[in-house]
Amino acid sequence: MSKKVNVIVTQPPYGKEDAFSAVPLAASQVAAGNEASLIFVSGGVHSIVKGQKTGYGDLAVWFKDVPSVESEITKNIELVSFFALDRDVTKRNISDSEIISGIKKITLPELTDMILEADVNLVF
Amino acid sequence: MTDKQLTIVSINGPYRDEGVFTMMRLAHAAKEKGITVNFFNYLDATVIAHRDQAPKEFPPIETIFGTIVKKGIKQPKADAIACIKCTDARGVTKQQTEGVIIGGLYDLGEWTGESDKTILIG
Repeated sequence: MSKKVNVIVTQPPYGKEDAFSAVPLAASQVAAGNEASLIFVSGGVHSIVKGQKTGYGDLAVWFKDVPSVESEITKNIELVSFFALDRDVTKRNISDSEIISGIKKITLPELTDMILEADVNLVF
Repeated sequence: MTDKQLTIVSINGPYRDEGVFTMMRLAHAAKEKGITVNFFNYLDATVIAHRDQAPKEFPPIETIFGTIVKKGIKQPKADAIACIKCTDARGVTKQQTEGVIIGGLYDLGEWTGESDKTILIG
């Protein structure tokens, strides 16, 4: 049976693997027939900033760059509905022009409704 | 015995905090109530079922996990999947304890669709 799934990301990108790994998890939910939304809250909203650069430095030493959360979002933007909590975005002074295209801001009452309406809420 | 099904997604490794032990107690309690339990081990949680753990100060999480999964031979059953991208990244794909299947996020999506409840313990 198809389920409505919210994946809520509270952790900022790069300090932990959580934000990056939440995106393919949400995309796979859609592939399996569920409806998935991914909502960035708290420090998680740093993932919505465009222009992320993830290289550590010389590839001869580091082999490859750390995967970009922005790329993972962009890759799945048609599949998963992406949101960010507006008050947490404002708190961190992230302007609308800095946000990756396709991510919508939502209010706390809207997030509350989404949580109540969903069958599953997974919090990273 | 009920026909209820619970999927538990874990993302943390053992020992650093108590979260995994809480997850085990929860799973055990669910099985005692006759609920079928699915374990999806993601990210660092793929180390939970690593074979031959021998902690000196803590209960051996692999043994506890394996016991809960093996009890799945009888009803209510427990199935366990470890995410292949995560096990490969950590070099533990071939070291998973008996009863753990190597799978992917699509399997979690299917379990989510089938389960009465899906929770993530992080």
